[in-house]
Amino acid sequence: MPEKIGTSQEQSGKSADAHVDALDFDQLVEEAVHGSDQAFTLLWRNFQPRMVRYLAMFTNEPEDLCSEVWIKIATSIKSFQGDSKAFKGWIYTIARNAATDLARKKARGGTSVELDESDWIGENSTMVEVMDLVKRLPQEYAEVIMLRVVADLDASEVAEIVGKTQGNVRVLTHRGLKQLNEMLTMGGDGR
Amino acid sequence: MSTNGDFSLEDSEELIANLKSGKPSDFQQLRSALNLVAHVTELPPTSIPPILPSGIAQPVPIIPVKPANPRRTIVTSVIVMGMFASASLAAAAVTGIGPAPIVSIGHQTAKFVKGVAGAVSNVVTGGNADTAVTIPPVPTVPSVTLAPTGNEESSSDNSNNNEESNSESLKVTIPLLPNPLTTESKKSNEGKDGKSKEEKSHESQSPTQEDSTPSPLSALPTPSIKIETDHSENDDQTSPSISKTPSLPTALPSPIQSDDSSDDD
Repeated sequence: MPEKIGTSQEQSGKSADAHVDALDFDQLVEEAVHGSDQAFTLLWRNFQPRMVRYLAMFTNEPEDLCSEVWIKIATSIKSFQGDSKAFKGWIYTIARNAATDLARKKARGGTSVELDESDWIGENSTMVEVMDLVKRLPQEYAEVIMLRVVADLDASEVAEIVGKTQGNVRVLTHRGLKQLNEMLTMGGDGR
Repeated sequence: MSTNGDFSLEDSEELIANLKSGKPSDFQQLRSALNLVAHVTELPPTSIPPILPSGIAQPVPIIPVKPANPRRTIVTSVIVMGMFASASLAAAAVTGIGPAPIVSIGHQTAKFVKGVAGAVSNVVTGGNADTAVTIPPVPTVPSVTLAPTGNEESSSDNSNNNEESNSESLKVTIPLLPNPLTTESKKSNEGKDGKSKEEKSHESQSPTQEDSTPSPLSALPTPSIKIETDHSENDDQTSPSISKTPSLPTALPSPIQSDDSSDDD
């Protein structure tokens, strides 16, 4: 069943976007694959904030890394084959690989990838605290939680991205949420 | 639904599912936290992506590059190889370090260049370049092969035929050697030239045959004759028998004859 993109209706200020508003997500992906700049722009507006949030788990400059990810997406979108569901998993796989490469480079350089609160100016401080708690979780726990909560992917899609089974993803999600819940109830000192 | 202390796998899945629907559930603190993380600020409608597919699809202008000219490539490679070879040979000749063939070739090349340079310098300074270059390889041949008396021009002719291929200077020295040297040269000829005594005795005992054969001295170049006669005249002064050589006046040009007459006087 095609998924409607709610943001395109909210961002229909331009006349050029009016044509794309009526399109469902599958048509949007198809047009973007065939080289439509309007469809690609709408997809970018829909996925960019969530992707930045997801990449914030890996780096202190998620916007820069997200721009690199979208450049890669635009470069190789013509070779994409699949529906809208596969498209979501595809772009987050690209984002995850880019984050992994960046983390590897920073690990070689000896720089830390710990979250800095100064990078979250203008955001809700409570959200910063929650993100700090999520980053304190083990990497595999935090990643599946972010993919399922922020990227809004189900267990099967996350399993394809991280290379695990659905059951394993469910278990990792449960363990992560349980540990996060313990941190919240203990005031952030749950470790 | 479980309490906060008993958080099961089903609870976690239900919690995630209720985040989308907005249904209230237990674990309110965890749910609100996840809502905070999941809530994102939408981008303004004027925002544009960092790059568009149409921007990538534009062909990159290719800088025209001239194809390699094969002729120029060959010439350049030959020049470079020649420079490298000459440098390696020069280094091997100077230092003597390197593979033996290269060192030997380097030494030979150095000798050749030295000889050519000497010849050129002789030509420039007015000296005789041919003698400077060609005499050193055959230093002893004239004293060995040239033992003709005036009566033995035929045998000397045979020896000259063998030596004509070497140099013209040998032709000149043949008639100018004094007669007393003929005995020594005969001995050496018997050993080296392989000529039998019978042949030479026959040649010496038949002067009539010599008269019938044309004198080889008539074909000799005049400038070299002048040089050799000067030396022979100086040598002849020590030996009175040289003045008896009969064939010289016939072959010598007139200036030489005048010199001889003046010396005799």
